[in-house]
Amino acid sequence: MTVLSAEEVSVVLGPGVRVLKSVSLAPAPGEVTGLIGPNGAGKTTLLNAMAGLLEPEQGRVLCDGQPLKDISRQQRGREIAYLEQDTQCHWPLTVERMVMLGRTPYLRPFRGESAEDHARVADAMTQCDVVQFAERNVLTLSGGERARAMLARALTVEPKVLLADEPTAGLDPYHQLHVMELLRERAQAGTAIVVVLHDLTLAARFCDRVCVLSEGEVAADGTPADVFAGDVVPNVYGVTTSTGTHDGQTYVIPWRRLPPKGLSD
Amino acid sequence: MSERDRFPLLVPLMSVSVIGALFASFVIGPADIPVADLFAQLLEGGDTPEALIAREIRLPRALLGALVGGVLGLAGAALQGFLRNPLAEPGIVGASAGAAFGAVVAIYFGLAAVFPLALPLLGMAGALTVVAIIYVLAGRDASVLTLILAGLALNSFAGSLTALALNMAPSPRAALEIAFWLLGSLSDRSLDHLYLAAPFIVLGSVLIFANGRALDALSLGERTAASMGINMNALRFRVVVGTAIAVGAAVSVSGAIAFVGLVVPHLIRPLVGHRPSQLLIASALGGALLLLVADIGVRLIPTYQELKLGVVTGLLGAPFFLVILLRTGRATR
Repeated sequence: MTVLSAEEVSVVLGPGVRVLKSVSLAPAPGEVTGLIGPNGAGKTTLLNAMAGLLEPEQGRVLCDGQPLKDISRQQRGREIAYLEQDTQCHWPLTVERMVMLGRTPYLRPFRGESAEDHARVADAMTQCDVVQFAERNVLTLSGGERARAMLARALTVEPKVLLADEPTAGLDPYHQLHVMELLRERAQAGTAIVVVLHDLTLAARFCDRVCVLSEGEVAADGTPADVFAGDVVPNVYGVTTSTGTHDGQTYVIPWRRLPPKGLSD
Repeated sequence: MSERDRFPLLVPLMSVSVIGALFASFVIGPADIPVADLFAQLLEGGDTPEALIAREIRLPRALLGALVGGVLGLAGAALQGFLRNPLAEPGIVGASAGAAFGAVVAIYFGLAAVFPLALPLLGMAGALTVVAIIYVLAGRDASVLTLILAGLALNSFAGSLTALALNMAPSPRAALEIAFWLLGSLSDRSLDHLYLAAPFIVLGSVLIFANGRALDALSLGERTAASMGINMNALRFRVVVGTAIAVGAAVSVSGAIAFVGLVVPHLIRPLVGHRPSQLLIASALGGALLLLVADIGVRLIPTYQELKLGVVTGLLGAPFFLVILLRTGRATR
């Protein structure tokens, strides 16, 4: 039973700019769903619609069978965690304080944090391997450290769904793998995860399912083996790819740009 | 949490200091009246000179000092948190300029001379007009940038109208009166001023105080805050309208008092671990303390004409602010 599903969602941003055209996506609990596609394909817009941050013109987003817009903001924040691309903290808070912000959907005004809040923060920080930075100023963290701290922030609500927008952007290979492993662990604990990725090999290796967006439409949706086997990726990205297997897992390497396809359209 | 452990007594200590400063502000003044007499006469009522000084001069001045300073510190902290910009100060929503213009109108047309409360009343009207215009111009879905630019434009427009009033002043005396009022002061205010401003200051402050958690969440940006259940439209409304109402009321009775709203949050921020929610109350207390002390200062510094409070806060505030900037350097960002 899916918790969150986008059903034939269309989003228009400004006159004549249709960013999503009838896109459906229902991430399954316990699975990592990779959302891939070229720049401007509508990946972030789809995540925003699924997080309730923008209202689709057509179609609907359902959460626990109810339209997402009918659910209180707070309830939505408890069920769906949204990890914005390259989140920055604007004040030099300690890492622990910053992670505690993730508990916002549970915090009451003028009241301190409960033991439960502190326990969840400690769990999330342990899971994401940032306990050793607890007292550090969040602005002094390196990219890899910050990515994990931000992920810990999103996990403090123990969300049913995690929407992560390019959590590996700007990270070195070691930290990219680390973040993807953390997402996999989280999925094994039952969370439905949607992750926007540009690295096709990460998508092939760590996702149970890959959805390819192109110009606001779903170009392919299936297991990595199916999606990467066909011509979809070369067509959508306009690149040739080299694929193979290593340790029984698929890898995909973009190799050469194809000539612009506008001529035949 | 470490930052709470570091300064667990910050708020209690500051509260005690504010009470101490209130007491000092009440007992210090040009008329040399023993402290015990002052309190006795205040409680007794009556029409002796001492009772009048206690009730009509010292008490309103001390209470207004705490209220006006507190609201400037509070609004500065809220706006800096809301805009995530340490340069924000309460004036940017335009209400102070509106309040100042309203008050200047009262002086210009001689209304203030006939009916003293015309000045703060018109000041309030000016502030509320600006709030209304910002909301009509910007609408409820306006971006933060639109709101700020609208505030800036109104600030500038109200400032120009004030300048026009000075330019066209009916007499040099009126021009001087306007110019002096604009410098900001708490002298010669009565309990009526307090009764007039206090409800708006309290209402605005309540609107601002309600945003602690939201301002904390906003540290991570608008989208992330919204994803965590923060209602951004409600937050924007409470911060902007709350500031405009509270600061507009404060400026209506005190005139423009420079720098408190900008400096105080900066001074306090490191002491509360840079948390926007914790900064609200601490910055309010800091603003109250600073203004009370500065206002005691203007009474003690012997000049042939009393120094205006706004002059002192600016004179002390700006160099102090520069020192802080140089010392903290990168931490302020």
